[in-house]
Amino acid sequence: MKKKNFILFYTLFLVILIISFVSAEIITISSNIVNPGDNITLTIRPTKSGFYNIIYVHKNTSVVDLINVPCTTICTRRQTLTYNIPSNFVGGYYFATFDYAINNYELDFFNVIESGGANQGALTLDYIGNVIFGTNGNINPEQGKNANINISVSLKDKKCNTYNVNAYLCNSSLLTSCTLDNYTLNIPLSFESKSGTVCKFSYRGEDFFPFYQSASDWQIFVRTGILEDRDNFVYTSLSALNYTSFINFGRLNTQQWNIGIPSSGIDLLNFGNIPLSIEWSSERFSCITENCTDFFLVYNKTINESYFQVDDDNLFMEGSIVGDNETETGLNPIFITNATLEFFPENLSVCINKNCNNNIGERVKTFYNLKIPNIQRGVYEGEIKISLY
Amino acid sequence: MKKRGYLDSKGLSQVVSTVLIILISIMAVGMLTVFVFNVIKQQNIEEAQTALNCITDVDVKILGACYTGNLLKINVKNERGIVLGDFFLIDVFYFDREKETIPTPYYTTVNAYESRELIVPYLSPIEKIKVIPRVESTAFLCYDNAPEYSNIKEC
Repeated sequence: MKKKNFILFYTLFLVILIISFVSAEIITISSNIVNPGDNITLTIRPTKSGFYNIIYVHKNTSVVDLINVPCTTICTRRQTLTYNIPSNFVGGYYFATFDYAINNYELDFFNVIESGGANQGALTLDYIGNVIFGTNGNINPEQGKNANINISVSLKDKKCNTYNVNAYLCNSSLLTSCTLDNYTLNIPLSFESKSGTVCKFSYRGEDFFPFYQSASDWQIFVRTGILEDRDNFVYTSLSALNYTSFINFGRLNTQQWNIGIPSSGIDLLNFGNIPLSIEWSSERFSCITENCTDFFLVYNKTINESYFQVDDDNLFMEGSIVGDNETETGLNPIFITNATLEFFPENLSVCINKNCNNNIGERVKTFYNLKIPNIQRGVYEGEIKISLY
Repeated sequence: MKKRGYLDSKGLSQVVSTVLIILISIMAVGMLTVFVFNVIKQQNIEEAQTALNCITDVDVKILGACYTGNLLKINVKNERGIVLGDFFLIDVFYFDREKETIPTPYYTTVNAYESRELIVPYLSPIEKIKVIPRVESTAFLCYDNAPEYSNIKEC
């Protein structure tokens, strides 16, 4: 029995001896995963050489706080200190304590997780994309409004329903430095369901990604406590226009130019996220009144004469004097034909807010000038085709 | 009553366990010795390399030093092409007290050919200081290349 005790004691002694050679750390911290407001107890057992009486608290390369130990410059006695985690701390930190025995700093790392953050388990980003007809990894803009997006996450842990999960999104300027301190959008995810030990958290909504936001690469990371998952996604480009689908020119006179119709003009708006050049074409207007079979062409190819124009004002100018700035304001009008390729406007700017009312060339009022030959009385209807480039 | 000898079963197990203890002890001490010797050997090689680095690559100048309130500000310049840090040691020689060695905060670095202000606490009037540089990420300090500065006044 005595020999057994001796063996035990001897083995223990050797283990301690080996550990003392391998590990020369002087500080132990009570916990390395904490919440803001928590206390961490630092127990410092210095050698005779002592340690420096200022312990720095670092985040990456920056000193964010310090602990003054109650001793003069070099502390040689064992100390037990309590450090209260500031409420604005979140992420990875470390204490840097200078140990005079090794003439170097000892670094003791700790992780501050937000209240309600998980300290174990597994977190997976399942999906980021549009709600309708979505593809994972792509967010497509929706014309004239914010994109309706879905972010879906799985959290595996017994207590998964008790945790908070957040998504952080970084635009292209932060792709290589997308962190908790450096992000573009923070989207809290809502608890959705629990099945066994797996919980689903998600966001579905139209609070972000307006139609006018530029197409670019993004990064998302989802996070709860010490768990994180990240992926890249693309916000795609969209060519889209807001324009009426029906124009009533009213009662028009034949054999003369009907200028500036309709009188109130019709707004043309860029409802996508790239500048647009807009091409207009039309062929004919046909009578739709009963027993009326007449029609007229908007461009007479034989004599090369056009009768249909789009402009941004109600001043009239025929083709022969295009470029005469004395009679024209704003944009030069173009003739609408099905034979030539002309743009009006040539560069419709992208909006910078949802109302597109910043007067930066994102909105153009359109008026038409129309000359009608001597045709049968009646209601005429035709198509205007608008193409975006 | 039968007398117990070394050759009975209990006696034999005692012999075996004693031999085992001795063997385990020898092995453990042997392993420890090899480990310690390796560490020392490695440390000596690194020390020699660092000493060489200090001589060839480290040249620090103190451009000025002054105190304001309870802070001592030391303006140093790295005259060579390697990064110095992660910290410096400042030997502070007081008029009224014994010398103290104060480390700058962790992650204090001075890039190649750059000047930087090092700040440490100012406790009482100083006769002179000595700035001991360290080649970034090595474990040894360049004591022989430590410039001194005296005449420290209020900023």
